[in-house]
Amino acid sequence: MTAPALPDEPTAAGPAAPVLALDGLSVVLAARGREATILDGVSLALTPGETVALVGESGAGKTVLALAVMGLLPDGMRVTGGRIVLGGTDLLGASASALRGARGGAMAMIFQDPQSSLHPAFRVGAQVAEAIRTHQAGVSKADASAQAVELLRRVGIPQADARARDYPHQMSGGMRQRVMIAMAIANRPRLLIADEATTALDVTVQAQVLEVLKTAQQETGAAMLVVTHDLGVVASVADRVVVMYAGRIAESGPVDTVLTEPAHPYTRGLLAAVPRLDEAAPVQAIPGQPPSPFARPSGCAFRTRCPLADERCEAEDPVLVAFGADAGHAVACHHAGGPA
Amino acid sequence: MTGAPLLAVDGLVKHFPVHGDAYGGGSDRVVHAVDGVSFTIGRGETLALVGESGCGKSTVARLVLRLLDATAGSITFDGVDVTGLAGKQLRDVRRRVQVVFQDPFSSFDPRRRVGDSVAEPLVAQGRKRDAPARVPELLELVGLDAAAAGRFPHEFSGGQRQRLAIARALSVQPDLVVLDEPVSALDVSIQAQVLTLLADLRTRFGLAYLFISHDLAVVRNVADRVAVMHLGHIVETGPTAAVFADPIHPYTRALLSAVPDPDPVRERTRERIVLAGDPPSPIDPPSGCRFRTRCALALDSCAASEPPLVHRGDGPSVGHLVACPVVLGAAPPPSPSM
Repeated sequence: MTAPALPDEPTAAGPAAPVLALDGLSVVLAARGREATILDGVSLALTPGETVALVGESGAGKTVLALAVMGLLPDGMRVTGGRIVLGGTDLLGASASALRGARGGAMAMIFQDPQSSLHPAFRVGAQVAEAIRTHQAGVSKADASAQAVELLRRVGIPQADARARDYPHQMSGGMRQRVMIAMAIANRPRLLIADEATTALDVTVQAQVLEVLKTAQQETGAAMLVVTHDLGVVASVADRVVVMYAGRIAESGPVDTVLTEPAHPYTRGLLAAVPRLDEAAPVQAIPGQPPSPFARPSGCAFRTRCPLADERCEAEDPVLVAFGADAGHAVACHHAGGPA
Repeated sequence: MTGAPLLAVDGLVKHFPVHGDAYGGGSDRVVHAVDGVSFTIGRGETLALVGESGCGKSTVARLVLRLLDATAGSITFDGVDVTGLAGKQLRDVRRRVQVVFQDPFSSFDPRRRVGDSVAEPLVAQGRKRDAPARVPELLELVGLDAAAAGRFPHEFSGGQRQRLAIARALSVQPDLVVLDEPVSALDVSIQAQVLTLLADLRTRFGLAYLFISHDLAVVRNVADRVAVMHLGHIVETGPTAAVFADPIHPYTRALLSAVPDPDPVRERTRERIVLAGDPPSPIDPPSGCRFRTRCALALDSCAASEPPLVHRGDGPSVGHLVACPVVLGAAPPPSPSM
């Protein structure tokens, strides 16, 4: 693996001991007798209070990465290499019951669709209270209910004590997503994962929910992994950004560096393809489409769409290496920073 | 714009009845989906209808296509009122007004070869004999291989299916294409490809587009004029550049300020108006201005009557209309305590 090595035992007392560390994570999908690599040696680390955005197009492996961390990979996918370490515990070696304890406890995930994440037949307050009682032994039902109302208030639900008695269908999408956030932060997780959590919301509601998410993270001090395809959301919430393409990290670094001085042709292409509010300039498309994981090109997977590609890109896998002057900026490209 | 517009929509209203629930509760009420919407589209022009879910933009699209019948108001296409048309006359108009929907997965029959689907409007127009010559031409027009005609929808990606849907719409040489969220389901790099294709085709064939979208940045990119919808009303309309550079209506301002900017420096410094609460229900919309319950500038007078769209002024803002007497100064300014 080409990733920078992580210390074997993250020291809990260290100043920037990562909350989550992925080291060379690989995930394979087996389907109809064929195998495809979905994640290929992905390494990244999140420190407490830090927000990292994972961006890329459909099929880049963003959601698979999040699901792998949660131990929720769908049937047919399995981890074939690497490590996932949450607060010093290797999750890949953890028992099923330890994983269950961690999910909703030390780590919590907010999904895109709150409609299907909430139980339709239970009141939302009861669902938040259940999350509390599942992970905190000795909390009485009454205490859990009171805490649930307080959490609903904290995520900005008006008249929280009354709305706690609502069923999910009585709430709007934005309100339901707030309930999901309340549930996610109920046990003060160290890691929050938001997978396209605002994608299905209207833009004015998205603005509200992003504020709630940022506040919730600040209050809990959790590290946050935000999976999104929206570069505006990235600029709004993230400290660092990780750009994925075809199961690998193409570029990563501080959000200001990557979004204003991108060095990977794919990152540049993505930014040029985004329509902007303040200019009528036509968007520039990236030609072609992402490769199928079953037919990954040799060498650099982006070379089939890349304006800078040459023979070397076909022959040789680019590795993720430090780039430029900004600390933490890394690029996997033979022509990193080349002519735009 | 000079001459008669290609499409003129005047006072369009669509109410959907809501029946009581299955337990005998609730009374029969009405969803005010579209409530007095007027606009025009000139030949070769792109008008974007933009707004959030439930604002009525897709209902307008379906009314223009005559997939729904209007409760009131008129739709005039090339000088002919199409609201009451039927039979051959309606078929003639339908040749000239085609559509591309958002979801490229549900708009193709999974068991038909895509060539047959692309030829469907031709068949409907009684021009089946043209199909063998026309289909390969259309596929190449939208950047697909002519041989694609023999394949099935599942063999295509979302972006390619959207190209197929565009080819199908163009098969009968329409004058107006209704594009209902045509790029919303696509990844950004593919979205840019489809937007570029739509722009090319528009120039090449002089097409007019009614472009329905919730994405303001996309609208900025494609539209000549824009109409901002809120709960069944148009609250602001005008040349795209004017509306985006100088939004007047408090709703337009809030909407624009809610879009996060991919430039991190600007994103940290830009003005932000975060609206409180949920949008009101179209079943029981607020009286008067329907935005007043979430508006920081609302006065008591806003509840009294529905504000009309009025011209903002002359010069660069010609054609820029806003439905807010408070901002336009026709009503007393908000008290300092606001």
